[in-house]
Amino acid sequence: MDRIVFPNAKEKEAYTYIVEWGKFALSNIGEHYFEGLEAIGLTYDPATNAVQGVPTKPGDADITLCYKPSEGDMEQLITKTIHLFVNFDPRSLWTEHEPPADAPYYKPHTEVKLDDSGAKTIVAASKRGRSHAKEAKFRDDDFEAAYRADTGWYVITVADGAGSARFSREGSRIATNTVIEHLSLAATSGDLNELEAQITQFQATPDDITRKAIGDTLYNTVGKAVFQAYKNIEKEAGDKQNVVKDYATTLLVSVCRQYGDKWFIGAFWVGDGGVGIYKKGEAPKILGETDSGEYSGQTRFLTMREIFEPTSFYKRIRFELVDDFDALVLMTDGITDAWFHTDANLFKAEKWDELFQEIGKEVTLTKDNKEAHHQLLQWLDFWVKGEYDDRTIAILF
Amino acid sequence: MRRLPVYLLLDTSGSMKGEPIEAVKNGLESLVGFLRQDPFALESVHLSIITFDREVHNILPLKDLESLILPEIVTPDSGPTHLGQALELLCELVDKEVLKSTPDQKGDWMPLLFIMTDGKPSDLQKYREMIPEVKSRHFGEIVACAAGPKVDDQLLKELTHIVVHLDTADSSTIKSFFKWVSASVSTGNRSMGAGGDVVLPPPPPQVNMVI
Repeated sequence: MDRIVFPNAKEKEAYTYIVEWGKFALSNIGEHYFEGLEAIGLTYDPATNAVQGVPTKPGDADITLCYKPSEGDMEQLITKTIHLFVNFDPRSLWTEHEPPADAPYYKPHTEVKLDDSGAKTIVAASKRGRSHAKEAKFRDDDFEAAYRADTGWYVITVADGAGSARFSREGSRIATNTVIEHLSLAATSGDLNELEAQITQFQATPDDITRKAIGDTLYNTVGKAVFQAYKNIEKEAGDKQNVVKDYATTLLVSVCRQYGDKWFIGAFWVGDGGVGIYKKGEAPKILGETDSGEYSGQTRFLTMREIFEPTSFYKRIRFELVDDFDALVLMTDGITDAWFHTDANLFKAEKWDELFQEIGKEVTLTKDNKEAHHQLLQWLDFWVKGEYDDRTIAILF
Repeated sequence: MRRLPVYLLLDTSGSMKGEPIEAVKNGLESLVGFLRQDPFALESVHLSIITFDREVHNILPLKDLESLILPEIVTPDSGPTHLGQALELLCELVDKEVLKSTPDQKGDWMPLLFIMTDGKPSDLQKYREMIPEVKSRHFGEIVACAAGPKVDDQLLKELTHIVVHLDTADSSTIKSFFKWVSASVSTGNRSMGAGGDVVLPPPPPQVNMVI
């Protein structure tokens, strides 16, 4: 090779390259030195042929090799251009910008919640992804959560507006708000009261019939709330003369209550992201299936008609009855893609243990921690290459 | 990490020798330079380059933007343009390299294909055989660029509905084509969030879209 090309470096990251002179047809190199290395933060040691350091300046480096061949007694130094590209630090390329002031459906870039009024604590945080920040767009994710002291129900929901839909940020807001509003009422008005007797029956004889009875109750409560979310989105779209698709959003809903010495957790799931029950060292219980396609970025949304076809809708409802758990977690794909990467990993105990270990470094998940929601928001800043989506996580512990 | 595979098929037949191929080299350098400053591209684009003349070579196997080093491009003095054979190699590479989603792996974004040629395919039969093969590979977008007066736009239109025509194959028009490719890759990368179609930016002034 006539051109002398060094492997690419990265700004602010340690670089070491041992020059193989033979590769550049310079096996006979004698006295030599480089010009321009120091200017970008690198040094050269002729004894080891090592170029190293932490590059400070991104872009095409301007470096010249000056040398004499080892044989012969040449007076003049020969000069050759060295090609070395220093990659930009991606963090410096992800600049942050504000959406236009007159853009409809304003949404703050972050949102947090802490509710410790029940036996268990709800903590949640949501943050605009660096892609939306770079493009001066709003966060598309949303969440809502509530504890009803009068009935003992916890209701948690997260949603992720579709990246390609114009007003999906409002779709996710309407969906999460509607579900909480509707389920809070259902929880108080007694629609969920039948569950207690059904759970007792299910525990006595856990078969398809008692299981179906619980499923039907969830269909008529959680399912209704989800359908109402769709209706409210349809109404908003109609009022503003937009199409429903403009508000496309995923939706994950979970309801949770203690019955005697058991915890009952029901869920509805459309789209990507995930809902799971975590207990340290055990395989998580995942309350549904991720809707994903052959290629990245393909999923289903609440705004698709096919979702409400009764059989497929029923399959989106799941429940679990457990002795106790460390955490019930709802998260958007900004977390699942960055953390679990694949659908299979979502089912692995060690991945969940790692997740809680990492969260634990920033957030102390104890009832007396009054800063847990702000700490969780901090944790959302974790860096994974290629994962720049909005991130939302809600934890009941 | 989810990759956006971008395949570039470049004509290196004898007629490209001289100014056109120098322009292609410069164009490639600006393309890579531009994409490396776009954080979306930097974290996802993987580039593969196939050249075709009498022979077909994958001179840059699929590689991420951060670590790839552009190889040298050489052109023979004369000889045929084996575009059909290049498409055959492309299909083999796509089958081998592009990842689809399974429970155990995250799929890539749908790949993009850019073809640039200044002549007619010499292996016309092979070219026509490969058209349905290429179409069945689910490219997010296929853009063919016809550079200079000798290209048969209609033949390229059999492969894709996006054919851009450069009246001359000189350095400024070729440069503008690569600029356009840069913009397309950047935009494509961003607009696929919900599995929609790739949106191409409007072509630069020197590029004529063949309708």
